[in-house]
Amino acid sequence: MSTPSRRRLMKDFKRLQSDPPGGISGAPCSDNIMLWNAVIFGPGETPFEDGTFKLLLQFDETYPNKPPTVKFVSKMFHPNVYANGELCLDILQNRWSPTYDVAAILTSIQSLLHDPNPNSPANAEAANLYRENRKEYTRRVREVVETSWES
Amino acid sequence: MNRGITDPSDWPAEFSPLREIDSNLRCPICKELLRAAIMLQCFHNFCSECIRRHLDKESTCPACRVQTSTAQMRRNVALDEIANSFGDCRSLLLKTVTDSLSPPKHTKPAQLSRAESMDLDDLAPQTKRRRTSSRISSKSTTLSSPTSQDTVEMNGLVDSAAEDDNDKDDDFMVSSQGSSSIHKGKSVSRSTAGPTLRSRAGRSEPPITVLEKTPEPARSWTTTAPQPPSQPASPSHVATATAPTPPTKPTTLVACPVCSMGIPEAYTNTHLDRFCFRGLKDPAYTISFELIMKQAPVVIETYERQGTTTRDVVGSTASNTSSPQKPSSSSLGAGGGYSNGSVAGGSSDGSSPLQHRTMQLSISGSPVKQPYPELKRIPKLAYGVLNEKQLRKKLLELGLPCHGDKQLMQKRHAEYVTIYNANCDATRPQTITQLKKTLQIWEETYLRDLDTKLVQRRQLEQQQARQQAELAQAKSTSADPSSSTVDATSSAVSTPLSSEGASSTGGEAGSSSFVPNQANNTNVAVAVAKASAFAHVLKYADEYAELIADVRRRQQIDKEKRVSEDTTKAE
Repeated sequence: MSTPSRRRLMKDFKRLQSDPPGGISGAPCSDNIMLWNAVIFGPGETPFEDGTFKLLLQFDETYPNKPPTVKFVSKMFHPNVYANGELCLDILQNRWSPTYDVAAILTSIQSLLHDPNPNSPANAEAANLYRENRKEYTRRVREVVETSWES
Repeated sequence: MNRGITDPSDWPAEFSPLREIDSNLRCPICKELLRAAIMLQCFHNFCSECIRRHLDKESTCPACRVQTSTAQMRRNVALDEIANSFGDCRSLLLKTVTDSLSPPKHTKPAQLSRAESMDLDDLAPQTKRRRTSSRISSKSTTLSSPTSQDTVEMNGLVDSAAEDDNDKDDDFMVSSQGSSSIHKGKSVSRSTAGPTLRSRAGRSEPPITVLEKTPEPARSWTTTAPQPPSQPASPSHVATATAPTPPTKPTTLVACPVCSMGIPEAYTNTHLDRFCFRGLKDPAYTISFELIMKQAPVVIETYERQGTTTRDVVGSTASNTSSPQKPSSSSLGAGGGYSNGSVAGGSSDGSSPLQHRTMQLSISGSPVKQPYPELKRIPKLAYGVLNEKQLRKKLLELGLPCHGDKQLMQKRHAEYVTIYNANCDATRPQTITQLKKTLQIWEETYLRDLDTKLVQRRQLEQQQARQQAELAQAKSTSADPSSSTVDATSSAVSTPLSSEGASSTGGEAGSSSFVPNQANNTNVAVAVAKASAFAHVLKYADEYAELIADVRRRQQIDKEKRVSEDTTKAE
């Protein structure tokens, strides 16, 4: 059954395969193209370096007119990531544009790891540490980097 | 024709200009080749349907976020036509390009049979026709194989394909040259092989080459190639499923401009008027083409007698001229006259504007171009002020189904308005029947999506409930040590509560009676009560029973440990 959203997701997949941006990878579940697993490698020269963070992207038939729901499956310690793994990222909410594709979403999340926005904190503790005690922040992030290798 | 999942990355990296063309002809929203291209005031182009759907909810350009509205939308007809033509020839072009990179094979003519609806005027009939042009020969270096087994006919085919591509897209020429320079390894021999090949071909049949040298790079339908009289059957004019097949095949298939089904060329107008414009399905699709060809002259004759067209269609079939371009080009040369006739006829019998438009579009390649008429679009409705009955009436007016609740009817109406208005922007509009079919598919998808979301929400609720239950269980376990310490000390400090009593009551009576009696175990009891309520609601009773048993077991072990510790201490 081909619908515009599914066709678009197939295109996104093809694009991601043929021209993958560095440090991200993603693929739909074999039995459900609306559900994607993705991995973001922690960007270099950040505390997240070497982390392999798994995400789950859930699309529906309104894609690409509406953004998918994106969640970290791996444990995350980041000012803009909620305890349940959900993200506070403008392009996944009010700044969404239907021109974005999966590669764009994952790249944005990767750059969010690089540049957290402590002004709209989803994790108050992480935001505070990021602002006031960068050393402790880095230590906590390194913890989640190490746990990200386990599962 | 554009149903595969295509992407600019399909083009080999050596042909990067083609990649760029491909990606520039794509809608940034759906990433398909533009359909009914629309330009906003910020000069960004989108499919009409995509941008309409977006502007229903937002008022910014999806690409640059500049404030905009549906009033700012302008049809970009030229771009739309380019995108359409590119879509038509894409698969063939891609095949040609990829083949040119791989080592030469002798199955080359077969590739041409894949042509979908590409306009291969030059291809089949003129296997012996030659046009010389420097850029073409540069092209053929990458395309034709330098091996000596190549027959003259094959070269002819490949060359004319190259010609066709060149006419369609000059950028291609650049890229092909690029590739030939990139593939030095092969191309050193090839680029020299090209001209020699050509001259060899020329030598093999010099009179024809001289005879048919056409210096102007015009399309073949203005320059008709003389046909060998030994081939009276009309060769394929426009690519068919069997494009380069022997010219003895009597069927000349073209793609219907409305429904894009393959139909005999002479049958086009009949097909359009009888079926496509009326939104009917042509039963002839199921009939073999030979049969159509037998019937066509009769149908066309009656059709002619009705005087609804001035187009000379019978000429090309009945007399079965071997060059189908001639009559059609002559009629197209008088394109103004034809379309005037059609407009006049149309207004006299009161046909729909869509009909006029498509009639004109079917000759969109003619030298005389008609202005693109703006079709009447369906205005949007203020659904808030309509009640269910009025909405139903509106749906019925459009000939749409009116079942379902108000929300569904509203969605259906809005979707239809979007696809209908988008269709008005297309240079190759679909029929109303096709639109309604699309709407039906949309509705099925929409309802299925609603269902999936409902299921997901339920699962989420269950998951949350389960988490709460686990939380409660965690509470009860954390409450354990305290209660067991109390219990354990009870033996020493003679508290009224006997620990064994507590556990045994619980053990015997099960979860429901376990709750109320124990004053000291309030925490546990409340937690358990809450959790068991959840468990009941969620039908997780079995699972929960295990949990309780586990809690008790741990309680028991704890107590025994403490008791034994106490006794050892006492000793």
